[in-house]
Amino acid sequence: MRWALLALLAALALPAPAAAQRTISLSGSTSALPLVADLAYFYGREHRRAPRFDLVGGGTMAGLTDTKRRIVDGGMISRALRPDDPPGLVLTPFALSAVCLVTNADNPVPGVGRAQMQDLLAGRLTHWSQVPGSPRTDAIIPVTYAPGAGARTVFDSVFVDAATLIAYAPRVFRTAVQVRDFVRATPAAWGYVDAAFRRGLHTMRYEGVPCTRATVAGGAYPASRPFGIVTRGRPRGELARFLRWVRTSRKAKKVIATRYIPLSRSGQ
Amino acid sequence: MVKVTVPLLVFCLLGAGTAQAQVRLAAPEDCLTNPNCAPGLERVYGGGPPPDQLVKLEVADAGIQALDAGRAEVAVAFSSDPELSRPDVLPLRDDRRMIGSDHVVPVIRSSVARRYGRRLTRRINAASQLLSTLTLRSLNQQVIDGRLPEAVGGEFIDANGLGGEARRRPGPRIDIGYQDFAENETLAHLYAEAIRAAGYRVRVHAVGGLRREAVRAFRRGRIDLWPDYAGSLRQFLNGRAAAPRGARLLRRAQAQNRNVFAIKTETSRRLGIRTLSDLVRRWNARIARAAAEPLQDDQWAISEGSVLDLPGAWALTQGAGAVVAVVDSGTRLEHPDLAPNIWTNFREVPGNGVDDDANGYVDDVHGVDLTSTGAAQNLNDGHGHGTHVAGIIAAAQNSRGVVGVAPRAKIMTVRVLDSAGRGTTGAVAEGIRYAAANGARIINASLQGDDPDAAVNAAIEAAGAANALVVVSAGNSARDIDRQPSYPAAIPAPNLIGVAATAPDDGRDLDSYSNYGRISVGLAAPGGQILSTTNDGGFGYKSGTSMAAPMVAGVAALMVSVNPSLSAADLRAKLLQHAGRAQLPVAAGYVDAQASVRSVTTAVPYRSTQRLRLRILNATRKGKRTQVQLSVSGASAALKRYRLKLGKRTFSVKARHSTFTVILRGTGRRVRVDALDRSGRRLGSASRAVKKLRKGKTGVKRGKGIGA
Repeated sequence: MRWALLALLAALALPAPAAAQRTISLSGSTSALPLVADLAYFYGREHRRAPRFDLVGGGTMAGLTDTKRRIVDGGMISRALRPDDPPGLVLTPFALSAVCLVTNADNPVPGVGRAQMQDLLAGRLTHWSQVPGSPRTDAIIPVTYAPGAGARTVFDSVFVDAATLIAYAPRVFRTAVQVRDFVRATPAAWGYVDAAFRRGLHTMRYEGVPCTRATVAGGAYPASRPFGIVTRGRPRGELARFLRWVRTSRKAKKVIATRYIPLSRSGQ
Repeated sequence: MVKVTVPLLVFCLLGAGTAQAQVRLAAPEDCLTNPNCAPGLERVYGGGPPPDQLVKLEVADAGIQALDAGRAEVAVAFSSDPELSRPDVLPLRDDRRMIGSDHVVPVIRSSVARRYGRRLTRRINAASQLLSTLTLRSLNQQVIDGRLPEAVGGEFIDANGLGGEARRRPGPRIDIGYQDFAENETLAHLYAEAIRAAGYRVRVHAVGGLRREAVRAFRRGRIDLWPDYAGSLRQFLNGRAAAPRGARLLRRAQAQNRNVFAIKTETSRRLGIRTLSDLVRRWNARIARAAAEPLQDDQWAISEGSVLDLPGAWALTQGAGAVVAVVDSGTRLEHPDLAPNIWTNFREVPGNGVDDDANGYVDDVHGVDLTSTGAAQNLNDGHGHGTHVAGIIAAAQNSRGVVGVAPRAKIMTVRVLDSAGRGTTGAVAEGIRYAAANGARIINASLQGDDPDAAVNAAIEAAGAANALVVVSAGNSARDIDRQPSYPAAIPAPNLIGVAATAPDDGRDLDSYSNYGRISVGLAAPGGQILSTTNDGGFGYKSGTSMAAPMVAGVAALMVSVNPSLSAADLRAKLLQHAGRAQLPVAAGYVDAQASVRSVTTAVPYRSTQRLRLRILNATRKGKRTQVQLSVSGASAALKRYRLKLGKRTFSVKARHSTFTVILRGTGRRVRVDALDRSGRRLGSASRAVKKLRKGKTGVKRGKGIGA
């Protein structure tokens, strides 16, 4: 009894071991990671006993395989699950990202189609006079992002045909803010930005479909993708509580809406 | 195996004459009127950019991109731009001190400062004290990566010990404004969180423009506090005052956001421009190309057409400072292409038969021999596999033979395979632990076995705790290891990466013998017909996933060299993320050296933004000395020193980062470590029982069989 008491006192005197702290480990999409990191921060602000988060990138595929191999609790992914993905994984989506095609506000081109887009990328369309609906006649100044940027990944996968020989020479920027500011300041520019950065720019239709919240949520606009977390089976424990908060809380929706379209529990 | 004779040394010096070179300056439009730009150059250095050499930047903070795009040779950038931390970008030295200082400074309404007194201002000053220019770059990088300034600023305060909750203080709300750019917004939220955590009510909002609007909002009573820049503010006030009437400057941060003239290091070398004086004065330069290695043309994997894309990575780093352990059959240490890059344990006296550094191993000067239980270390490579692997990773760029992927990295030899290429998983496990405990950040294990061993899994986990990435070969049985595992490649761990082999000439197809697996094998890399160093002192070809793994290990060494603060899990994630996508049956694709290395030049890992984590990996005593190995991760802007308590004695150690070892005079049953900030506040702590040092080589005869 005495020894047990001494052991108890000794245990109380020592700080809790680091391993006792609950941690949610996630790996995967580097496009989704900043959003998950922000959500984790605000989750911690609202929940006194929130767990620690351990987030690393690696890409969607790394998130899927790490989750399957139990290296992490969940995988951050920025696309829907595909039939050839590892089996037994469950996706909990919480946001939709959309990449809109933009021009300067003084160059309100109504829209472009797939063929025209390939012509732009292949360098066959070089002047605005070749683009129907443009009031301009000068040289087109295209803008893109450095490889690896989330919007660039979406753009390459949706708007660029595999057979297109890329020959245009775009200006390359790091962030959506830089692209937005450049297109705003350059009447002959066109580029693409996440939907939240369209303000002050003209948004072009693609294949006749406008880039709006409704067309993105409804699936009519092609350049959109979901952000979500995959788990082995249904989410459990701390991760399930976090995901429930992400999909139901007003604060989480507000955080998501700064850049993306929130998806609620019902999937909308 | 084909032997290759070393041809005569050939130097390649092209165009070694003088050539007219233009030096274009990319600058924002205000350069022509900004005293820290063209007028300053004219006044202080006696010349400015000719009009035809001035390239206008439409986006003020896109100067470095103009250099990348080849639109200019020199660009005006801001000192808090994270791109200035890239190893291929150099700020020109302002040798005549033209550019004024521009420190971050919080400006507060005097009446608010008086009302809340020193408790408030001390809080704000404590936040300013955490801010260096490098810290500011890190905060900016997180926003560039897509995070919200509010979360970045708030998290920084939390992570550095100024966050938390306090009892609400009575009094009116403090309104904090920010100017219309991300850095200023982050700073506003950072100060807001520091104040809120002390119990004050705060609100943060935009003031709708730049400095003029901030000052106007202050004068109209809309804001009480805003982050500004001391030099620019004084300039805005025409030098008549440091702050607008009714306002006062609090403590300036060390962080600055001032003009910098940036140049690519290669351009700097080529044009001979290192200072602003050079920029104004010199326009001619010699153009030369670096000398190549005699056999470099026979190394298909590192040629410009290979998927590895090494030449681009070498423009950023050659691996200096990284230690790579080769867990293999030993190394021919005196090989002329390896000798310059052999790791040395300087705490060990060679040949004295004593374990001088108290790590459990006698005379482990260049590594350890785990093929026998004898005290001596025989690192000689009787098989040849280890020497070949070592050369792929770090053969020196010394105009002799071949060049490794990371030609300035150091090779630590961990011999676990005998001259027949056979060993035990027990020796491998001990070798991995040895490598991680003695400073290797990358551990290459080009080994294959069919049996799992929990000791190897535990060793890989321990290596992860010490921040070491383990790179392993997928195996050479031409099978899917998702279905029929091969070890250690099939071990699931966040610090382990398995590598499949691709074939010449461009490395895009899997070689016929290579194992694969869409889940278990992360990457593919050139492995067929690889020319490297041999154990007879020459050079020769070998094929296998054993040759592919060291390609990845070398790339990882380049990444560590550029950004030593990356964790092993982050390194692995970056390698996977930036792999060239392919239809190969592996998880990510081909390793891409250039993209992987570039990705870490300004990377801010999530873990480094979180609260400090302290772990004691090992605490051992030998005689009257205690050796403690510590691992530190997380935010460290506030970290000043460590306090170690051992028995009744207390020791103080200056702040250090990542993984390091301290030796204490004295012994005790338990050691406790506290990480402290400037004021002695505890940021993190850990404790561990001290154990008696065990002699090494206990695992040599244990476990299952494993081979090259």
